[in-house]
Amino acid sequence: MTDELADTEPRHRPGLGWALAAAVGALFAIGLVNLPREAAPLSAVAHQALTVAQPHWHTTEPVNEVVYGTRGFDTFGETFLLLAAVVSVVVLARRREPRYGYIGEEVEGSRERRGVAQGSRSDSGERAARAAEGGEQETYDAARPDTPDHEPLGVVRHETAHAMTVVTRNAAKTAAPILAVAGIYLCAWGYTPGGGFPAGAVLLGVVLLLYAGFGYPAISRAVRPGVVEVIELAGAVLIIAAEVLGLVFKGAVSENWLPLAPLQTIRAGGVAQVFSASELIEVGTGLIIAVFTILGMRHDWAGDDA
Amino acid sequence: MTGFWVMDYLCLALVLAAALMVVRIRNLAGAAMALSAMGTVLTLLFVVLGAPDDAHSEAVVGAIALPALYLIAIGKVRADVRGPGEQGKRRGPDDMDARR
Amino acid sequence: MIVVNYLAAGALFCIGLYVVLTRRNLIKLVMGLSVMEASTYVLLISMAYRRGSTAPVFVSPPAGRSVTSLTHGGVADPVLQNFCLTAIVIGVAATAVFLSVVVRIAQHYRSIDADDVRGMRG
Repeated sequence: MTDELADTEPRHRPGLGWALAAAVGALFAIGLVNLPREAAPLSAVAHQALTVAQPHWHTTEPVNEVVYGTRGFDTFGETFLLLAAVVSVVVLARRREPRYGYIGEEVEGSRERRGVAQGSRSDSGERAARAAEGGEQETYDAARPDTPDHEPLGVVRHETAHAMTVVTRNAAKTAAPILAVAGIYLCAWGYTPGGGFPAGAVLLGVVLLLYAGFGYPAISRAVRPGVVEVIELAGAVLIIAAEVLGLVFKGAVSENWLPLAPLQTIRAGGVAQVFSASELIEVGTGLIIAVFTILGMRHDWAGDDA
Repeated sequence: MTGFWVMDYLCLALVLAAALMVVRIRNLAGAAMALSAMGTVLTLLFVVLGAPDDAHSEAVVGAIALPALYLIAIGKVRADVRGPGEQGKRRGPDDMDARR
Repeated sequence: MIVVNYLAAGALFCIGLYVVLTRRNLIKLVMGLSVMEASTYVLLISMAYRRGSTAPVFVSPPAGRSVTSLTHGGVADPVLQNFCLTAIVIGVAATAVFLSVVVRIAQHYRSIDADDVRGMRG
């Protein structure tokens, strides 16, 4: 086994790379040394954020107030940039024919193609070949057990089961709800640190945990393009509504138009809390779509010898 | 105050060490794990510098989102690229030496 | 001496830049971009730090500080921390798109070596 750290990885022009990186480094050093150091006073916008957080937004978390309140339009742009990235991943992963699901699409596509080809003129040789191929495909599908518990121990073979062993499944079953509650808690209480984005990424983690533990058929009912994309765009509409209503009622885009709850309660923060919750929905489902789209990315042309 | 600077410099050293590991490790999955380690140490640095919101985000991104994306991409790439290591020289199908 | 943080951020950026400039493996190249993005996080949060500052949270202030004293200063800069939060989100979004492009390249060109991929097919 070659030494893992030996840097024999193919590369080109290391000398030039070193020179350019060192030059950029020197430029950065000059610039960074003249940056304001830690003794500098807080900027005016920071003072404004600190003073306005409690009286105007009833939140004890100025960073959340800045993220979802005064600079809500910037967070609006950032969240929709994530939406644009997810859409571009889906478009990049699109196959030629309309897709049905993230994974198991090849089976759908080939079955559909077989159905269409049936009508064309086919002699006995082609029918026999098609029957053989159909038989082989069916046996492979049937051969994939749901769980690997019945496989004899010690057999060296490619794992075909959808799910993992009973130990991993139970561990996933116990860990997933705890992680989901922790993630939602991170975003629910708006007056402590944490917001929609980390909670959405935790949601992705929980879904990946269930996918790894139970296989795609187990979660395919929920993690389908039809369901997840609708939820994501519902979150996006919720964000747009929360922002534009501020413009309608109070004359500024991310202005707070909700009645303010007392400090340190779950509804503290007015529209910032609504924005954070809808960002949780959108980021969580967006990341799920991106990850499962890359997972289910098939060749977008007739597969060659492969 | 010195305790603060000791922690700060320690976290910076760990972040730079993790970055160098990302560069040096040849095995792609190993480099993805080094990147995740860098994310986790960045979270420590954010806690030391007093940024809890970013610590939450960086911890979750560094531990869940980035490694998941990288490992899935590495798995998908390995399905199509034959050859000794990550960059498959175009070899005949019979040359199935051990893939890393 | 926060300037050490700034220089460390610059060094991190150069490490990422070196990887992007010299590596031929496209996935390693995307990892170099992630390292460069991490350097921006370090720079933003280091610039948000003020001498003797705590986290900008008005819940249960540390010993010897009251919430009102925190609202007048002595905390890290929340606006720069928001910039770092935005940078983290954009980092994830960009990495997802880069990786889906790399997987597409691997499927079409059967290789993710930057030199193989450079040939434009007519």
